[in-house]
Amino acid sequence: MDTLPLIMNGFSQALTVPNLLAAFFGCFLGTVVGVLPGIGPSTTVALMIPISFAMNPATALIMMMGVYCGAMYGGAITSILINVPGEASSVMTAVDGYPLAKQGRGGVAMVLCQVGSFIGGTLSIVGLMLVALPLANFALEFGPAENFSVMFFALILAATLISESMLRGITALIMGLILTSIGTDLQTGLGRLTMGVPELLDGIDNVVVIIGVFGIGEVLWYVVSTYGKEETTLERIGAGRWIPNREEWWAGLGPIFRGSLTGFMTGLLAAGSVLGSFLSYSFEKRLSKHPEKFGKGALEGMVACESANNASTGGALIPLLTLGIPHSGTTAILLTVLTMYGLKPGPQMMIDQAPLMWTVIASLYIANVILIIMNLPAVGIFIKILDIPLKFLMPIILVFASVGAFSINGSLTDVILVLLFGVLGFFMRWSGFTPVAMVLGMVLGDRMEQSLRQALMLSSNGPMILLTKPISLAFLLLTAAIVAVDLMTRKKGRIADDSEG
Amino acid sequence: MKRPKKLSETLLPLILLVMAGLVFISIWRLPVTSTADLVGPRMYPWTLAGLLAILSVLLLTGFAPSHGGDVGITVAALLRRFLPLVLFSTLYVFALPLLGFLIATTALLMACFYLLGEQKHWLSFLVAAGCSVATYLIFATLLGIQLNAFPV
Repeated sequence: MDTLPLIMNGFSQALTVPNLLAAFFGCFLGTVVGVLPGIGPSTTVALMIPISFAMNPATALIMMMGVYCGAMYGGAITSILINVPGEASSVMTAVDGYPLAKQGRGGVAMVLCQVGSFIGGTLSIVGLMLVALPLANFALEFGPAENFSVMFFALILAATLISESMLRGITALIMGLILTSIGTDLQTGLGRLTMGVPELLDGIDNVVVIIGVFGIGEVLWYVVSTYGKEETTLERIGAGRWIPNREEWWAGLGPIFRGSLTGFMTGLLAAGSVLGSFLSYSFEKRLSKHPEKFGKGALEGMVACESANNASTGGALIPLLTLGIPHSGTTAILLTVLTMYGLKPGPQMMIDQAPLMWTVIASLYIANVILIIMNLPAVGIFIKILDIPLKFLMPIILVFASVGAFSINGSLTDVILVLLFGVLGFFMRWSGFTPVAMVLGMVLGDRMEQSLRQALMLSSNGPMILLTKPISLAFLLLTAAIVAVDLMTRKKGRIADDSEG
Repeated sequence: MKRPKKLSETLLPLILLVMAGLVFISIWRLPVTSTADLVGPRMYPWTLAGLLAILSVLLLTGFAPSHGGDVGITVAALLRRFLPLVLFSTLYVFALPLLGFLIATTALLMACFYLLGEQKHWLSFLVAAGCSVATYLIFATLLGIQLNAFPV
């Protein structure tokens, strides 16, 4: 099937006034949702369903795709400016984005993130157009054993690369994995680790943990660590310049393209944007000549994560559109919307419903263009947040985070939990632990447990299934290699330090 | 092997050790299911609790290198900044249903501003009230989150 006439036809449909307005509205709403902690894109897409009844299928889908893409763009803003990632996929952006803001380079970070998001988002749509069906078949090769191994690989990378101490990194990771065990066991229906609290039967929402350890944890850290210091040093971070210089553009270019590729590929898999942003961060750290800068304000790490984050949207749409398999909450709701309009996602849909599908794909291009046009000038406005004196800004973040937690389920229990996780985040930082490893453990832990249990149920040979599947074995070997290399590097570093000392 | 001396290096591992024990006991109480699932609801958290206990002991015995995370954190700072802020935030959660969002939030913000050294109460009030109203408008009016502006 020739793609060019189909996509041209898609553009001619997507560029009509009602569809453009729907795309603009979706992008705007998605950006707002991405900025605000607590309300995720899946909730917003779900809230759009009643509105979409009055629209034709193409316009409704265009609006929802706008929300989906916009949320990915917006998540970077609060991650960089106030260290509050609105979504799990923005956690890695905060790791280097917030230190950059504290160095007065928040504007530069935001501009590069927007450009990285644009390139990542656009490249992923090109990928969606060109290689959707073959890649979807490749994704089908990933069964429970492969999914477990790839997530295990990602988590061990988290523990080894992000943390200064592997022991503390793995400990933080296990804390996250235990937190995912709280709630009803999906296979037996038994409540685990709920301590008799009925609200915990649903488990702890990832976003509550993220807002707590990052947002509230940062506020507590600031308030305690600045005690007794001179007032003049605490006034404000300062917006600084927001146009990147030539070196910064060059530094960001490679990571943007590498991050886009990683994000697109991981978007195909169950772990999606979180895994993509994390793996691309890890690759950049490995490739960098200055890995010690990562976590302290490395532009490369931050833009790679953000590009991967946005590139995963196109990747995640491939299994949805070509196989009817959703890999995230948002794509699951999009699947519901597609079926609501009488469409049957699967390989045949790309043929039977070609005009509609190509209109939606064209609208994704348009959404990316709208988002960069809308968000780049907004950097100058958002960055003004950093001009607010910190003694005012930090308590405002506290309120913002609390209301964000409340808005997830409308429950005060979540506000109490977010406060508890804020205290935990403070103590983790005080004790030299990295909360990022814990959060990644929490985001991927649930799926990892289910994959492991499914793999073992399917196996006639117990855990050996993980070693007999080639893709699974490859990831496990890669994990072992990374741990070995990391241990050797650390040992060398310690010997060098001792000899210098 | 060095024994860690700093409170920041022993407190969290100790808490984690207790947490591992609690996880173990809590999972022990789960009824045994007749599922054919090789890794039942017990095995995964048990394995994790076991690993957490081992890692906590390793951390307590000084296996991990020292870190600089506690730079600038003093007991006075914990007592005069950390505890009051946690207390204010806890009170805020309980005050929300009683006082409504606008009054509770304004009070929390003013208390925090005072804690961080803002002495001009009129400025604190203006900023706190303005932020409360703006947050309410964004979350409740624009996004439809169920927040009570005033006591019900």
